[in-house]
Amino acid sequence: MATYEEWNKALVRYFTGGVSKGSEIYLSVDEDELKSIASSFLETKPAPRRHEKDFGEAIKERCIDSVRGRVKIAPLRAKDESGVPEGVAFLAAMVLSAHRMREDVADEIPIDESNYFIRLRDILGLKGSGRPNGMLRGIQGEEGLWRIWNDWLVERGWQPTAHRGEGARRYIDYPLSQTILRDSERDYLEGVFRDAYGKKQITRFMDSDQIAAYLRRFDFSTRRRLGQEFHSSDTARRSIFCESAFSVYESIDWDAKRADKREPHASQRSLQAGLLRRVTAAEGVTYWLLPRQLSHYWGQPIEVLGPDGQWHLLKQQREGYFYSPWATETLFLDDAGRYKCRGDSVINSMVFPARNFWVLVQDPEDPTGGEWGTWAEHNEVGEELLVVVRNDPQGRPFHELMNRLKKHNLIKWHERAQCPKWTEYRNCVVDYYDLGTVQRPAGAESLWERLKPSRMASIRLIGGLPVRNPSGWLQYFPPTIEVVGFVKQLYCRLKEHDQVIKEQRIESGKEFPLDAELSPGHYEIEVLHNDTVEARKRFYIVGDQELQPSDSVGLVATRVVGCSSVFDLRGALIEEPMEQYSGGWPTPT
Amino acid sequence: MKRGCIAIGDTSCSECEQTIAYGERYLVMDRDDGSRSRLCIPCAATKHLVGYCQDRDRRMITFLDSTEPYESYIHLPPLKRGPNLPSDEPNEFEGELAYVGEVVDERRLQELQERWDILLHWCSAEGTGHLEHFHVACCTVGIASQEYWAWPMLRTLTLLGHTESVWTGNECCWGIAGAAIVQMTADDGCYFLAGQRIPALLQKLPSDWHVSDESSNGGPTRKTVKGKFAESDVQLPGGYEIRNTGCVSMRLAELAPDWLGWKTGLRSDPDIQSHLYRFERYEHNAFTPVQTNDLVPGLYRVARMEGRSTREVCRFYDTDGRWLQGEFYGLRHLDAQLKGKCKVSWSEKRYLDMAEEQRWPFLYERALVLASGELPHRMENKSGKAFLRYSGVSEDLARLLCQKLNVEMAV
Repeated sequence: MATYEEWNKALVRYFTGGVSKGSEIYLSVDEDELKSIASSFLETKPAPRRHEKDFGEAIKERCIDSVRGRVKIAPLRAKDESGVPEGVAFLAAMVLSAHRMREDVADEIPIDESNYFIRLRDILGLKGSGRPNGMLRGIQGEEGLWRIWNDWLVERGWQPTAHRGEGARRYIDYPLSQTILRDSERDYLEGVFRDAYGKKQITRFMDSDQIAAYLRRFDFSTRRRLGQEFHSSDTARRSIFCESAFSVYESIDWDAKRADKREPHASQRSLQAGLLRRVTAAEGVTYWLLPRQLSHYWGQPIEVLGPDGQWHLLKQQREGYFYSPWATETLFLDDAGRYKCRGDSVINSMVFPARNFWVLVQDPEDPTGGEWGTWAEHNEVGEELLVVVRNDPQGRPFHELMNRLKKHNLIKWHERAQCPKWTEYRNCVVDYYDLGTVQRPAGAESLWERLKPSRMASIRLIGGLPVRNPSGWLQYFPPTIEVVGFVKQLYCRLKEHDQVIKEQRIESGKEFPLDAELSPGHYEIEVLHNDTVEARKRFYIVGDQELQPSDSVGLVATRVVGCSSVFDLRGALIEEPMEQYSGGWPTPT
Repeated sequence: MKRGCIAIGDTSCSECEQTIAYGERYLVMDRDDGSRSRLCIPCAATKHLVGYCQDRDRRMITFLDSTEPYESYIHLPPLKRGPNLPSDEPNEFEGELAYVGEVVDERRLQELQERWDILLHWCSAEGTGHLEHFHVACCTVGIASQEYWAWPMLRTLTLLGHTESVWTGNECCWGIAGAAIVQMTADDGCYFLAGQRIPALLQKLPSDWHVSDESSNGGPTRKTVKGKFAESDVQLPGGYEIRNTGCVSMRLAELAPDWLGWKTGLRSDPDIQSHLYRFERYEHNAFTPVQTNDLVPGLYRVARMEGRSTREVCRFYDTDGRWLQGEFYGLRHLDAQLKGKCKVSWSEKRYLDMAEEQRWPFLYERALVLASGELPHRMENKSGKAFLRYSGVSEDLARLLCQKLNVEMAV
């Protein structure tokens, strides 16, 4: 049986693997996820179909004082030797309870603590009802564990999503906020996709963006919760639901009849390839594939068979993305391109989808570097976009939409560059929140959905002295907070552990000044309009003592051809020359 | 009347009397008596004669009407103020040289050193990057401004053994070097720390190491350690390691090529064509325009119009007709070699003095700086000529390097 510590480590690797920095993390644990974690991430694998029981036993053994029948929260506040919070597995048990509650309780019945704790007690093996002994309310109880998890995510460059609720759901909203699709909702979505496929509204090889656009247009009147989530103004929440729905879409065996019971979890998945645009002095503008890692990617080597007949190793460029394996001169295909993959039991292919347009954004890690790519599925307020639309008759509705939006001053672009097979709308900015005033040409709904802003305001953290490990800004050099919105006046709040420490009205496009003397710790910026939180971002101020040394040491060397030998100079270290030649003398111009 | 200028030669500040380095901006003001006063940016800032203005989407330094004061971008908290050093520092006259700028404002030096330390900590955490990235960090920390190139700052860190930097064409990338303990040449019982450095690492140093904080004379704090260290590297808790390099300056001097071998390794620039460029020859610490039919071997600044901008580079025109590219000080040293014997003076106090205009190429200067972990002091003789003094240089090291560079050494 796997120990609590093994489950804890496996859960953290599973939910943070393959997730790009800056993205939100959901600890969305259900039975399917436990099965995947057990099969791929646990060293001590449970017996078949025992993964849930195994998990429950591990939780009980570590977290329950069986003599007194109480939960032991305090020891879970620690971190293990690699700095990972030890309470994650217990939090996962809480989310599993929330998932089971959602399965059993209809949408119309209000959720409260009593419903929730019945399921939690069942997992913990505790009799009785109500909040278990040992789980105090507030920061002394499980809320403290959620805070430690949230802070750990921010320090590693991700955005947390677990948050406190209001009133009776004050504490149970933490695990509830992590639940995504229920089993019954997955079954429902499979039916929706099969039906749409039959009506030729979707194809077999669409990418996540296209599926998300389809779901946003779909009428979920019979499924209130799904409608709320897929049409939510909370971009992060909507994205995670679309990603879960996409995994349902990928798991469908189109050639087989629909089974009575959906086969849990996708047996085979494919990598999605987006697009990357580069400009170099030598080659000018070139386009490349940009493969995305699957969530839960744990670094296993994957190879893809290229059009040249060679196997290309996919190397990780950053969390969430691989380096481009090859350039492409064809941006728009009538049928999706599929490339075989090997090296992973689940991933069988890489798909370059058939599209009529691409919306590219600047590299978030290097905005001035000149590269545009499919780094984001939605655009922030005021963010510049590069929209590429095919020039053949299939692209006509999309060109028409762009022109209509511009005519009504809802969008502007710096330049429209006509290439033989496509047109680039460069440095596009969406200037208005509500694009509904423009009549969409038939067939251009997907581009309209993509361009439509999801929020009234956005927050950018720029400048300062950012550091990577932990992820944040060095003390005395905090970032500048830039707030951009579609309305002139916004309200900005700076919070530290839910306490407001500064707030003021601010004009869109202006900066919210931060005190340079902010002490090390976790902070959150909220932007409100009409008392509604439109945007929220967390950041971390890193004290000098918390800085961790980089592992990228000695990567740069000066090769010196000496009087009797060749050597590499790395600072004060003289070493034998290594394989890579690193350059010559400094030649400033 | 006041106007902003850029230093291209031997220009000193009227206030602090420090030499204004090549490429740095300074303020020229006409006095009532007809004379001119020249102020470096820090001295102009103390008189509120320099600030920032907004030019489109970036802030720029200006000596004219500014909208924001110069000090507005210095965010460090107030520092402790120690006692000021006396301005009449005794006994530091060696031969005919005197220290320049030794009227020490201790607060400013301390503040500058702390900024350098922060920059080194950031580099140690970041690991590697491009010069532009490094430039942004320098501006944020307050060591550089947007108008200045960050290469001198990176050069300083590389001289002191903390980083390594490599140029590929017009692009420079840097990387932090591994933590190392370096034996000083002049005292085999004294070492200094080089390479990667963050506070957490310093706290893990063995408790029997007596680490002292000293000035590196214009860079991060020089951490010196007294004692005897075995040849092996030092393992620290947490899996960190400090490499024992021994006396690396001596080893570098032994392995380095002679100056002809070094010159052979310089890349040539095939694009310089006489009919496309304007040429200025380096004479008496300044560049003077020359005609294209008057090109003789030496150091030149060549300029070419590219569209609406001018591209200027420094190149050395060699006797074999090649245009050599490299760091400015190295090319200038070649020019000095061409014009006459280069000289240095070495004293038993382990000082090596050289004229600033004969500053050695980067590789050899690194050997001098790594001898003590200290950057050179600026000096001047009675006639105001600028010199550089390198401390802690043993006679063996001095002789070996002078032999390699074909430089005359006076003891």
